[in-house]
Amino acid sequence: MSIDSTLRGLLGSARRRLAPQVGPATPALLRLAIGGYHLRHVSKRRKLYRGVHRTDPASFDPVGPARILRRPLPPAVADGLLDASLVTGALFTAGVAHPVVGPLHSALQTWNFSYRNSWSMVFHHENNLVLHTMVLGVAPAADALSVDAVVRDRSLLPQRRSWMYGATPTVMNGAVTVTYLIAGLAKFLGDSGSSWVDGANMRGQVAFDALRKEMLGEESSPLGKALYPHRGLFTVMALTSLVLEVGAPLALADPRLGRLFAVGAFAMHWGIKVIMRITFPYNLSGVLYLPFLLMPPPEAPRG
Amino acid sequence: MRLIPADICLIPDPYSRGMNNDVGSPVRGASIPDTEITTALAGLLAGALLTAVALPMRRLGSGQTQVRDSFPFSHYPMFSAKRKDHYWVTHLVGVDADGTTRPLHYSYLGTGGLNAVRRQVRRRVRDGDGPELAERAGALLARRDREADRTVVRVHVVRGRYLVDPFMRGAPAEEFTTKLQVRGTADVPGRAMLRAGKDPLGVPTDTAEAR
Repeated sequence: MSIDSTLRGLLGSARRRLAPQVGPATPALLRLAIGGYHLRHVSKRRKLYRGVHRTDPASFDPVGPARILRRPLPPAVADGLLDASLVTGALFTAGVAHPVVGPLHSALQTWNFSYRNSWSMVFHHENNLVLHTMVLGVAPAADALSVDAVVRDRSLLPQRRSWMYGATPTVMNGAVTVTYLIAGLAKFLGDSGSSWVDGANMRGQVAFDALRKEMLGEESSPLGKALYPHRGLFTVMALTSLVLEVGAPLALADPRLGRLFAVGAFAMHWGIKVIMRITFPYNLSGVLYLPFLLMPPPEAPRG
Repeated sequence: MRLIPADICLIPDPYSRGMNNDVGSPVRGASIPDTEITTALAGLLAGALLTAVALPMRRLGSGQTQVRDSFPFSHYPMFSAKRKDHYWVTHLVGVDADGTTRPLHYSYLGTGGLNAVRRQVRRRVRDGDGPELAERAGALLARRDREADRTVVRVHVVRGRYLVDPFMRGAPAEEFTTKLQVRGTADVPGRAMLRAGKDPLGVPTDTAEAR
């Protein structure tokens, strides 16, 4: 067997696993769930975001694409961009003119969240929502269950099949697993190093969080304080989270591993919520893990 | 009637076992033409996205916690920091008419959620804006007039150093507070009579009993 045919075999196998031929419903369902989540997330926080747009300019410290700004936008302009993303979000979710609306919505969402994160604190729970929307924005995610599908094919579930539909959740999951991998490596390679392995740093993180919450007039979690004396428990939790994070890329190898990772990560974020009262809304909603649940099975080789 | 379309892979898809031509039906491809150019472009875009997500890895390592975080491509600096036995917090303290003190809600200091306000306040106090923050918080406290904070007559913006372990084990505040630096003070407008030991209706104040 020549090197050329071995290479072709490997590429073909990778393609069948990572981009199998499926129908358009997989990316369409992801578009509906993630677009709908965006609408709910932003609508619920619209007042908060408008308040942030009016924060003292002294606190403005731009991140991401917002770094092109030297000073904050006039609040009315920032409000307008926020509201525009609600309009594009509705069109994106409904699947209207997706080739134009998809990238536009993704760009607006990235801008608005970057701008909102430019006031001293970067909120990490919005990273994966933005990454998911970036992928769906350029993928053929409105070929089913959309206005575009009804207009083009006169059907909500047209008879279409393509590797592009199968590749969409793979790329989304790839981006998410890399973020988990970086979070895991940050613990290993940071100043605290081995303290993450024996659970001491996780225990410290729980304590710091409870302390600052109470000093800032919020209630801390009673469970966090109740668990604090049990060092062994933190060792188990820290090891579990490290295995989950550093092993995240394996979730791409097989849909079953993907589902296992999704369940583990979902449980981890609910654990953080209960013990530390830290809310990662996108993770806790489960929408973040939907692409893992909808990963198509690998395509069988031809012949 | 199928509730879940066949290509949703919660269940095995019988049609996924071959290419379009194998099935022998007039099934079309995606709305984006499947050409060599679009295949290359899709690979390029996916590669660019995954590279952008992975690039912050170069900021990982010891001593990198002070490197500015970014969005949406983060290196998660909060996980790299070493935890000490104490923690400094800049926050707001309310003084009741009877002289007792307690932490007040962060929303008197700024907008945007607990962590955003915490960081804004830390930076502004470092820049010398403590007195201004205290004045604003006092005015806001009077204007909001929340029932729980009606007995507060004065506010302090403080920078406190707290021992973590005693705090988590339920020790009293004087045991886990090792330093409390006042960076700004303001009286709450309209509460002069309370400060003088009388409530506005002339009844002697006994906040300890009221609580």
